[in-house]
Amino acid sequence: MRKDTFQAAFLGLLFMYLALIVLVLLFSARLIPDLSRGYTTQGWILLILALFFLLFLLGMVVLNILRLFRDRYSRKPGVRFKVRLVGFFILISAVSSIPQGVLSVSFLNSTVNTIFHPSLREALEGGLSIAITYYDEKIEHIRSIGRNRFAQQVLERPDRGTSRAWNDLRSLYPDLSAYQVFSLRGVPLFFAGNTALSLEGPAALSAPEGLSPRETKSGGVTILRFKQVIGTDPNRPIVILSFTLPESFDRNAERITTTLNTFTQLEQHRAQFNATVIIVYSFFAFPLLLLSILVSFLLSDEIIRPIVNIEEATRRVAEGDFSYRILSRSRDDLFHLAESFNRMVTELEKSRRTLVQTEKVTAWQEIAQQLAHEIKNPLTPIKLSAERLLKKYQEDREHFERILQSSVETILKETNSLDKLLKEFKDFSRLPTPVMRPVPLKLIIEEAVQGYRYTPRIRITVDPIPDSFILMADADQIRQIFTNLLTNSIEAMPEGGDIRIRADLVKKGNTRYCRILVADTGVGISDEYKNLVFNPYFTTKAQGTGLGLSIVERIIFDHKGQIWFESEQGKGTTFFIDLPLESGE
Amino acid sequence: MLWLSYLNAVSKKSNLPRTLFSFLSLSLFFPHDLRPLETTYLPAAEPHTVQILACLTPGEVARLQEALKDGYRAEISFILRIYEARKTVFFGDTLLYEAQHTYTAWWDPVGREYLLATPRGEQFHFPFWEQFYSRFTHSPLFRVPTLKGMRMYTTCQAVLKPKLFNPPLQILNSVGQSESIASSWLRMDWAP
Repeated sequence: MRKDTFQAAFLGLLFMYLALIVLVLLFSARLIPDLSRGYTTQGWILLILALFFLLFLLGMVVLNILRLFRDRYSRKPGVRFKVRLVGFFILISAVSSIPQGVLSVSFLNSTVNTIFHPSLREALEGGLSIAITYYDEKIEHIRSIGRNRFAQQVLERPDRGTSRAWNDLRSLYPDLSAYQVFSLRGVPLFFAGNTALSLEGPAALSAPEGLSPRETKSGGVTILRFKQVIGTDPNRPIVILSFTLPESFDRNAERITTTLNTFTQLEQHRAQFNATVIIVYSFFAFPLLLLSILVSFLLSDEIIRPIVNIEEATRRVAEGDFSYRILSRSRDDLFHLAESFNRMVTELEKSRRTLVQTEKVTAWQEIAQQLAHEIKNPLTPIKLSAERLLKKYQEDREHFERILQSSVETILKETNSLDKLLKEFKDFSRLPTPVMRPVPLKLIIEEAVQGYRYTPRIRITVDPIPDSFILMADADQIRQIFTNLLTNSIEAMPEGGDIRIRADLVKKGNTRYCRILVADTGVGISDEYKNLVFNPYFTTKAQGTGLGLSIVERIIFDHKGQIWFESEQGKGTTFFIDLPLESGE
Repeated sequence: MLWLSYLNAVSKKSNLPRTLFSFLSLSLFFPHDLRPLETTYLPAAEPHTVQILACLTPGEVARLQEALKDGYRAEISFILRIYEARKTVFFGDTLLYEAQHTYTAWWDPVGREYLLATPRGEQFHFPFWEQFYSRFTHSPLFRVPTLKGMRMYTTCQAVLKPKLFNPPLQILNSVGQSESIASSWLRMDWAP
């Protein structure tokens, strides 16, 4: 999946998640009754929806983790950094959310457990019992009006005057708050007491005779009313006596009852409550955790993309491709880094060109000097021989013939030497362009070794070379590498010795190389010459031209390889050559 | 049996999308046929009115009574929908109006009476279970307007929640720990 696609998918997912939460909250009240049949499963539907989103997010996270493993297995650039980043993000998310969740849930549970302690239940039951007892006593007290003879006499003799009746009743029931007399048709005849407790006529008529259920006014006052129809006369009056309970009685009784009920419910559903708290918390917290992990994938991609680009660019530049440039769309710090890198590569390319030009001039100057020197060396004996011949011919003709042969031999010998020198120089300067084709390394080495197999006192050992080592190379030039190295090794062992050749597989980045080792037990190279061995015309041998190793280095460079050596005087020299293997693509 | 009954109820509404959706949903969530609550229309006390009676199985009645005594609040909702019958296949009948009335009930241990509250804030006291149960299971009168020439029918449903949790246990309501019993939808056609 491309990064942009992933980002769009992620944002779409986030939006869908939030939208569906809103939809579920808005429409569940209407949707669920429509679905309901028998026992409804409102909660289960919500749970299933939440679970669906959880699984969806979980799937996305698992998918990204699998992609990460795949990238790591295929050693994709920047994947290790990405793994570290994602791991770090997940760790931070987990470290912040999991303990928080555990603490929140345990805190809630412990708080509930502390609040709903058994002693609280006892206190509540005691409080409720007191309230019930008080209420029962009050009820009994009011009901006693019907049995109290004096009270009945007062009520049944309205001719004594209602005001007096009120005073008499107050003396009997000091807690009486209001006294109201209605006609049988509900017309108010008399009222005394707290006016807030007055009753309308219809309400008085509809109230049951005796004690009515208690009522609570908006101010919190609880009222108990006692209704009695006096006498049997058609115009008999109705008397309503109102009593009040303490102002907070009903509210406190309700609080005690509710708390006690909650206590009972908690006892019956403690396990479900604890599980529900955990589930509800998880349904909110776990998706957030998963979302944060998805964000970490997105962010890590965003972070490593420029780094991977820079790494790729660095590799390409290191391989010599100075045309590579980093493209950056954003205008952040990494954009400036990319700009700086591109500028650096441009400058580097300029410097390299200048350096190459300078090196070429320098190299040709050195070669010219060396060549002049090498040519001058044989010229001296030629000149001396010619002068000697001329002098003898002019001054001592008798002995001329005696020195003629030796002088001419010297001239011929030096001329041949000059011819050889010029031929090798020609070879070096006109090394043909390699013709690359797949060639097995094993075959080339075998052909190169074959010519030296029977050299006296020299034993050549070639370790088994895998058939899979196929080079994309010019076979003749590679063979020349081994020919030159074997010649050097044999010349370094005048008393005889061992030469060993082996090849191993090595990897540099994404490229596979074969590392070839050519080791001898010769005299070795002294430290003072180690930096000069690849220089053209450098030689320590009397008959050497000093171009053998220069040609080897040149061929290896043309094949994008590398050569170096280790040497210890008196023990031998080992040359290492890295040549890229055919990729097979 | 549940399926036949339910399909019969919903097919009368000719609401195909809803029927299919409900059928698929029910097949997932309601594998058993449980019918603890049903409704019936009571004879109209006034013209153009409907009153719904909720009928609970004896087991559910006992459970309701026990739950109230245990301190739970109970809630019953009567839902009435008025449809215009149409002769279309795919778009179903038109929902004209939906009315809902909810009673909340609880036991008062101080007054030793059942209390019943309406959304309008009215509160009724019942010292005896029979009085309370009768009131609790009878809906108020729903007024059904009749429009000339329009074929109308009503469907009703009762939904009982016998155990409502107090705070802080209300969280249990949200995850389905609070049971909810719903009747099937009952249809009654009105003469045009």
